[in-house]
Amino acid sequence: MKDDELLAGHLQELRRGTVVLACLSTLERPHYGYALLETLEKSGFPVDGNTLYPLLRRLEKQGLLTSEWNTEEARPRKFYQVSADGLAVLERMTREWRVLDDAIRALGQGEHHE
Amino acid sequence: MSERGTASTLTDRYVWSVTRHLGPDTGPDVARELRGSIQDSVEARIDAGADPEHAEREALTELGDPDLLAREYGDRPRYLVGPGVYPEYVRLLRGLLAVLLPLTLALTLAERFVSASGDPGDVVLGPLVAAIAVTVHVCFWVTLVYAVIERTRPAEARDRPVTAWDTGQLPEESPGARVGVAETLFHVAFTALVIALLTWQFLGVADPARQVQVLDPDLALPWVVLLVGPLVVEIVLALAVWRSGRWTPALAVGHVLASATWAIVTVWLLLREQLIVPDLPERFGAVFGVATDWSVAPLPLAVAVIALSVWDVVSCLRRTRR
Repeated sequence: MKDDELLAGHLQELRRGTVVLACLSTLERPHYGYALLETLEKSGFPVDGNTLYPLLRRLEKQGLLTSEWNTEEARPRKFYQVSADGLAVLERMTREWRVLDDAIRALGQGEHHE
Repeated sequence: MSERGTASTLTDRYVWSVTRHLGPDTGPDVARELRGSIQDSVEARIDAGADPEHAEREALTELGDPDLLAREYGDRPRYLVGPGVYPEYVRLLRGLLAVLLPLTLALTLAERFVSASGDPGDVVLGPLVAAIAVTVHVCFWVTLVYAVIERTRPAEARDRPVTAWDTGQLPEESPGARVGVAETLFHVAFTALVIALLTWQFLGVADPARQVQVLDPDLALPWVVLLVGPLVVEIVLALAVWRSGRWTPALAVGHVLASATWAIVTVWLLLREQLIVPDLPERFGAVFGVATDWSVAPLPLAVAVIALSVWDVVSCLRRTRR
């Protein structure tokens, strides 16, 4: 029981930093909040609404996202999309993700050979 | 229609709870977006077969405590003093208290003795009250300053300390550090000076017209030995500590015994008024030509001797434990 909680904590910690990467990655095409939530969940990346909605605001404030209200449909929705700065950050983060992945693999294999 | 009415009221209350503390620039926009997100979530649940009221309740429960969500939207820190500055905060508190508390105690004690109310309870209580007041003030103001710092600096800087750390801030003594030469020399020299003063006084000053006889030269020889002996022992122990590089338990026990013996003998003699010459004010007046309308108060002196000894013993034990 205690080990399960421990594992859950570590996994949550591991995922926390990747939420931004997942958001920027998905928002290369415009999404509104709830649609993004569903898209992420379908891709196996479940995020709570109370984490995601404030995060979108923060990323917008940092200039990584742009937003636009769409009032053409019955319900007005705020659509988010990555900005030019956001794209640069996304690219840099994706590269970092690959480097980390390679590094972890290399570490695992090194241990295997010894 | 009425069903929908009650359901939207729940959402209204939730959205209002989240956005009421947000500024006028972001509040309405967040409210509009959040309402949309909640309605999206409710509709998805209804599409999946839930009944509307239940769906709304579920959607709001999933978003959780509106106050927590509000703090996620706001960019104020959710703590008084955060982990970035906490070590500095504690260091400043410790540093200030370490200086101000002894100073307060010393000053208020001195003030009590000068005003010489003579009531022992008052002598103890006054400084204690002052010390508590100083502690409360220091804690409050330092905390306030750091809380303001946390709230005024940009959000990106919040994980960082206010002042950069460098190696100069490391404590000077570490558990492995040797007892230094300077420290030993100071200790030995100081104790030797006290021995010299005691010897000079107990032998009787050469010229009573120019030198003040403070201690009673008629004190019995065994008492003199009990006063000077422990000091000699302390010099020997200080040299032994320097040789072995640290306080060993045996050396510490020796030091504590010597220190305690000296303090007890001194206090005993002070309280029995055998240590200081009874006509000290007159002798003092004769040498310095000042008025003699004061008397020696043995009790405060005894308290001071005890306080000094306790401090000495505690610091010795602390250094032994390291």
